[in-house]
Amino acid sequence: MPDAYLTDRWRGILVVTLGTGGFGLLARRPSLLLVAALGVVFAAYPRVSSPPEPSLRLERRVSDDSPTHGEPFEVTTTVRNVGDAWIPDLRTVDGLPPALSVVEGTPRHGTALRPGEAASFSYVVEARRGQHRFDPATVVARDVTGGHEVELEIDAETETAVDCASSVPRAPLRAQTTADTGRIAADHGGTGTEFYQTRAYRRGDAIGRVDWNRYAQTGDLTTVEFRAERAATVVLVVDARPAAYRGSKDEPHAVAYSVAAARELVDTMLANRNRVGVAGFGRDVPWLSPGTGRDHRVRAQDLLSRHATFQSRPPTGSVPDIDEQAAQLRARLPDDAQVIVFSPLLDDDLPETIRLLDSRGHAVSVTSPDVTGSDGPGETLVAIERDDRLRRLRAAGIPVVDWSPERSLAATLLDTPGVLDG
Amino acid sequence: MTVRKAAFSPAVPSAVVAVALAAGVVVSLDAREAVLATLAVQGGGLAVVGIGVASRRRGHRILGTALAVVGAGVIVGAFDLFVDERHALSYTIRFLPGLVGIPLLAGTLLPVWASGSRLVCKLGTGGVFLTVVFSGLFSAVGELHLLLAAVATVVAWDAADNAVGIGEHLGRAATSWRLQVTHTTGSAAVGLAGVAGIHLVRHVAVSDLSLAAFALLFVALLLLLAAIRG
Repeated sequence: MPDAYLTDRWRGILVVTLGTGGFGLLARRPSLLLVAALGVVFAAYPRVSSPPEPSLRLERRVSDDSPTHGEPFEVTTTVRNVGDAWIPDLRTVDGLPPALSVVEGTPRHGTALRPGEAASFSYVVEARRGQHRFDPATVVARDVTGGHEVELEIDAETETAVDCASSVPRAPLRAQTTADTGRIAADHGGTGTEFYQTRAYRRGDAIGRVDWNRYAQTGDLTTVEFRAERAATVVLVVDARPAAYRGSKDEPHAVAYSVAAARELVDTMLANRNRVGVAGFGRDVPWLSPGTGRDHRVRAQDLLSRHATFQSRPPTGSVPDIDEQAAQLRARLPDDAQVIVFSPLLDDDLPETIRLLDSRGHAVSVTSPDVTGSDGPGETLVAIERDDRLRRLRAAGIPVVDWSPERSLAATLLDTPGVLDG
Repeated sequence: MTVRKAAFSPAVPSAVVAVALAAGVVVSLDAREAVLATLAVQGGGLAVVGIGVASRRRGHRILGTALAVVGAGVIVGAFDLFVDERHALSYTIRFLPGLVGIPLLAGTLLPVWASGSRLVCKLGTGGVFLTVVFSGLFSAVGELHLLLAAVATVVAWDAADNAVGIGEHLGRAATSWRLQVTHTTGSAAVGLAGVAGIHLVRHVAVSDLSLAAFALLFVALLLLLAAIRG
């Protein structure tokens, strides 16, 4: 436990005491000396009180741990004094995830707790897209005089997180595929579900694929071909550089949205038999090689929700140069991997890196959460510059999904022309 | 859905206790009608200032500023009721600091500011304390009365400082009445125990002490305090 420190809030009383005592002596007024004696009692008050040593346990419950975007849910936090001493002043500030906003009540509570006693408080939070992990609660305890204070952080006994994700039926993938069967329609016939063409029967064609209606009408044996469906190797790259930690007022920043979108697409693409990897730009270049399967899904989700690069708070120090990070990524990317970049596209460095990746043979597409606003000329300029970046990327043949986070990613992808099923 | 903003203005229960105690101290020190009338008008002026500041925060800038200026004018103008040639000079000296201190204290604790000011709380209760000291100087009230007024002034400062601190830490919307009661009760209990002890020494244990003996007693207490601090 951190050491208690003195708040010195009673320090002024000693000055007043000495002043009153001196004045009493000069004016020869015993009554003022008595008032000064009372001042000495108050000056001694914080010194005879012992610093608080709180021993606390925190429990946190949420009314719905998988709410939909925009839906309110209630958080109830209980702080229990599990020590032997009375805590006369306990101020708790719950560790609300930075991307979430309180719409009713307050995540702050002040109370006094006897040994074994608990205090609960509730507040209502509006759900925002993405997975949100609660931080430890910050607790400030003071002695009864307020002269000693100790500040500490307490984790809930069980980790609290809400997952506000929606399922995405399709991913913005391009035609760069592997030989494995998947969901991306290839430009040749094979086994699949979508009609591709009919051709003359060849020996060895499956009897179920012969067009018997046509045979009955014309006597020609023809075979129906379906469009072959292939899987892809995809690496999801989340832009978590300081420039991406930008959001509209009272709204989550773009990194929170990008991570949420990546988490939704990981599930969709793995379910559609693609090989999926995860990377990012920011504090570091986190890397999960493309893979498949249930364990791989857990690893990918874990990386996206826990890796330091993707955390809710922006990096405080300097981060490595984007060219250096892109070089690291290129060195790790499998040759046949395509890349989906998640970025708000708020600077000119990343579009350059995207074009370079695309030119090196990795089909790149971009999903860009729009966090720009229109309040004032500054915000309008940022929005215009972003639109220009989107336009230039599209002109270079790179598909860009312009995602307004108020809508679900699924709805945006369905409305975006040229998005392939992945 | 509207995102709720936290308001970090001073905690209301402690603020009310602080202002009530400070006003109670001034009124109790043999205040006459002029002091009561001044306090009443100052209270009205503070209410107008509060409405003005709240209006400004809600976007009515011109109306809010006008109301705040009018309210401040009423507070200053209230002193006209107090300054009266029929009073003895000592009366004016006694009550003037308190009548300046109370609007300062109440003004900074109004639940309309982004946060209260600890310095203004000290200045406000300091003014009230000067009224207590001057009442002792002019022997306007008895010793016990003076000691109880001093305790109430210190408790008023403690409650005001806590109101500001709790407001800064938790905001006005948070429930915190238990810890506010704890602090105020603790300070009041210590003060009353101190008064009881001093009164006991003064009137029961020793009946007649000279000023020099008082001074020595005070120095002894200071040395005791130094020992505790060490």
